[in-house]
Amino acid sequence: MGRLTTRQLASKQSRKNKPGQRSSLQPGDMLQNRYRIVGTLGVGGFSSVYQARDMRFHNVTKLCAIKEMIISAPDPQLRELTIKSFERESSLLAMLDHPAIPDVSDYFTESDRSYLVMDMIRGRDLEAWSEEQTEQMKQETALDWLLQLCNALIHLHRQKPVPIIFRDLKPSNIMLDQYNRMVIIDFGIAKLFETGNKGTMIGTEGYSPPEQYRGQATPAGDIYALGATFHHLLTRQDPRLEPPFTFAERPISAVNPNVSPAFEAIIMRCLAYDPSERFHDATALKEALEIIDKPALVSPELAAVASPEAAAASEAPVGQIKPLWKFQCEDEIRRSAAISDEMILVGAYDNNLYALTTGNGELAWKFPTSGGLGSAPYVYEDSVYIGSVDQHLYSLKLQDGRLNWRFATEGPIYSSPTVRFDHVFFGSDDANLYALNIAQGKPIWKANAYSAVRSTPFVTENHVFFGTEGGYIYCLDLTTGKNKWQSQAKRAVTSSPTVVDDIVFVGSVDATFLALDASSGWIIWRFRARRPIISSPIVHDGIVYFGSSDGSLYALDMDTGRQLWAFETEGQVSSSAAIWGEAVYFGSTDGHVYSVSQKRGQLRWKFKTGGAVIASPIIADDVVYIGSTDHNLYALAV
Amino acid sequence: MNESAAFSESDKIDTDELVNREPSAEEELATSQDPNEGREVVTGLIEHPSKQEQETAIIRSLSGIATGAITRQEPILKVAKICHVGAVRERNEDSCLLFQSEAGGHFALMPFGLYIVADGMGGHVNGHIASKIASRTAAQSIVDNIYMPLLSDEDTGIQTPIQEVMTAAVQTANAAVFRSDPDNDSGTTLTIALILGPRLYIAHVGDSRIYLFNEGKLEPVSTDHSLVQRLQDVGQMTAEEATIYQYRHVLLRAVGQTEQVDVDTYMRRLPKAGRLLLCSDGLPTMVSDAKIEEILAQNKPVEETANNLLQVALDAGGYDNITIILVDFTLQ
Repeated sequence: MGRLTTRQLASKQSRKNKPGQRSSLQPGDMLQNRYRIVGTLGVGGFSSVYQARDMRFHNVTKLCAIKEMIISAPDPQLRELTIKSFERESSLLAMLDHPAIPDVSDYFTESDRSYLVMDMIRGRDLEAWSEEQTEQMKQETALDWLLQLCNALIHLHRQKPVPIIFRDLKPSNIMLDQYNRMVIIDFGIAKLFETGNKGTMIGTEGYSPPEQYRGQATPAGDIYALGATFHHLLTRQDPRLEPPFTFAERPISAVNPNVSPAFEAIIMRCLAYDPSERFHDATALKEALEIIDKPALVSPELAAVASPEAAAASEAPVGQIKPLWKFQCEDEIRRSAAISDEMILVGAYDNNLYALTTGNGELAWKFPTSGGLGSAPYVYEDSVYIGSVDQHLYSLKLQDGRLNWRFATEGPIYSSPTVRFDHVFFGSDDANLYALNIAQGKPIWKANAYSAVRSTPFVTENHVFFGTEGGYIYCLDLTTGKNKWQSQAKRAVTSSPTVVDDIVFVGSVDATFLALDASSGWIIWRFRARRPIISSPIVHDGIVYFGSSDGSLYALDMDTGRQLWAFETEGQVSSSAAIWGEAVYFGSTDGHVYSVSQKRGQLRWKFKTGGAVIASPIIADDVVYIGSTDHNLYALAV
Repeated sequence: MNESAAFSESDKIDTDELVNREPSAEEELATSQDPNEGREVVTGLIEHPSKQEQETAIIRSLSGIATGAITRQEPILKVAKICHVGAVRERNEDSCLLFQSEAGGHFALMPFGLYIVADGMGGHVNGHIASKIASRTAAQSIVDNIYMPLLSDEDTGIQTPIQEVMTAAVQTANAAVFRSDPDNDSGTTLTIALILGPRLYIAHVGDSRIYLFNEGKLEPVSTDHSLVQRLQDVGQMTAEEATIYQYRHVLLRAVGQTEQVDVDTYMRRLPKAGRLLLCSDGLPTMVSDAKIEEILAQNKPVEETANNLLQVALDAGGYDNITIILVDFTLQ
């Protein structure tokens, strides 16, 4: 059984169109003692199109196009049948009277060939036109042409007793004449359609609707091909080079800024997989286009006509977010807060750790350290742990903020502590990673990492994972602190690793995001952002989320590293994301806290603070707590 | 000490590329800054507990947690392969290749299993050549970049992200097939499964298939790059219609047709035990997924199971070449 790729189907078809391959008529040849062949316009498998001069007008040069079709059937009866159906079809075309459809003036059969004589259209087809363009197509041009073509389709689809389905609309079958008019040419495969009939014709790859592959041709199929044609013209992305039915993956607005959401929604509705979800005929499409043509109409109303989904999308997604409360510290907040049952704890660069009530943000207590707090607090049982630039790690009583113990390192602490198995793990700028017993703050081990450790260690049942400013990612044995493996990035690893399903996810200042095998450190995949990654990843439902200084929050498939979406902000995203319900929350140095949909990365709301938001949000009971460099901690409803 | 490596083909794998690989700047840095070298085992800053005390302390506090033991889960692999011309065709245009290795002893190697199926496109003169070139070129690339580093004494590990090695292997194969045929008329499917330790990596182009059989259920892992699959994806064809559709052999992607090819890659952890089935479309077009599942569930040895699958496909007509690679895996 033969097997082909669609690319080959496409290339075989394009080969057919190369002129001069098999043209049987030569310039000078006469047909019916009337039409003198001037040249060849196109050659196909079983048909050719010639340019000819009508000699009946011997004083002037009247040109016409003559389509020649070869009758290949050897059986005389079949031959007779072919000629009959050709004549019937020609008569039918001759009856069509529309400015966008060339007039048929004559038809005849000579030996084994049938001929159709039509108006000569001066101009070029839309494929050639598209290739000549250097700028993106204007919406008004597209709108004008679409309306013209709608009128032609309305005319075809209204034919009695059965509608004519064109079946092969595509840029190369549409001419742009010298008066900027659309003309549909090449009715070669335009077949009489009787409802329920099934054929085997595959139309032109890329432009044909899914149902046509099963032999179904309806007016809605022509609507799809028209949508596909204009998607091609507007995006300049040839659908013949893409997998079939993937227009939705290539939004027009992503490449062509001239197109309004409402107009794009109309094109996309033409391209619905299911014929019943498209405009059911050209009249309905024309009506939708006419609304766009009249800018007085409000856009949501229009979008609702075009597509209910687009209507939802075009609603302003940015609501008015007001903080439930805010608490002002005396300096910047750069790290995330921690939550206990009734309190929220946050460190500020004013040296203080603040404990606030979650309900109204009132100060319960504060604890002054001797340096700024660039470390996030960690709450475990009845204590809170935090590192300070004063080189100490503190353990405080959660209830009143009294000191349990403090532990001195030899460098500022920017790494946030994490507690597991009754031990607190954290790094210091003194290049060590520490494991302390939480009861007394006594070290069980420390591991020299040869450069500052600012990331937060991730502790699993057997191992501790962290990154260093020297660009290493380490895996240590949990009980001994001995090195199991290390992997190297090109620049600092400030981002804190997270381990899910035995895969270590971590970003680096070298702009690379890595997924490593937790047992060997081998890189499974990597993803490149455009700028450094400081933000720490979170993983939820098989998706890994992280931000980059390139301004985007990325969502990648955790198994393949494929980008699912990216949300662009106006600043850098150093903040890590938090997930609550269907939404992702994070901050940007553009001063905003963002909430975007988890599935598609669409903006739900944003909230403006008075400074860059570097801190990460923490969420509990439908409240997002996040600090800003404007010194405030905000409590926002999700 | 026990070592075994099986190569189902007689062809020698060329390892020149491996030798010629230059260490990158990072690699050099890595060796000059080995954290193991100066590892400082606890000199407490507040107290100076002895090593024993420290370990007792943490073991006490970590009671109930497996301490220190590296519970690396590695699969035991058993494999059977069949590459059969079928009942109708005159020539076998499928190619398959498998390469399995393990090394025991103090420095045990992660088990390595490489399995490849390529189905040359039957409409083309050189389908059998295309599938051969594709499967072997891809194997060479993966062995060079993943397997050889494992054997190396230098302990540099695998340097390129594994998923990128998989993609590059298919691209290399694509380029080789593309170059081999001046008319660019040759094409082949190419489906590669790599088991490395407890993970399964896949690279795939075309309509050969990979299934994972686990706890009695057969799960397709790959997606066919075929017109019928695409029509089903967009809800315009049922699976049943697809089996009788006249263009069911039309592929949307194939190796060797263009200078570059889009490659699907997947990675996942293996379940505790199960079976991995790679096959050319000669099996699934003849035998339903339900039937395949039923045969795999009989839990016969791999060779017998593979033969049973072949027999059912032949009994159903065997219209196409039939390639089957069946791997039994059990994580220890």
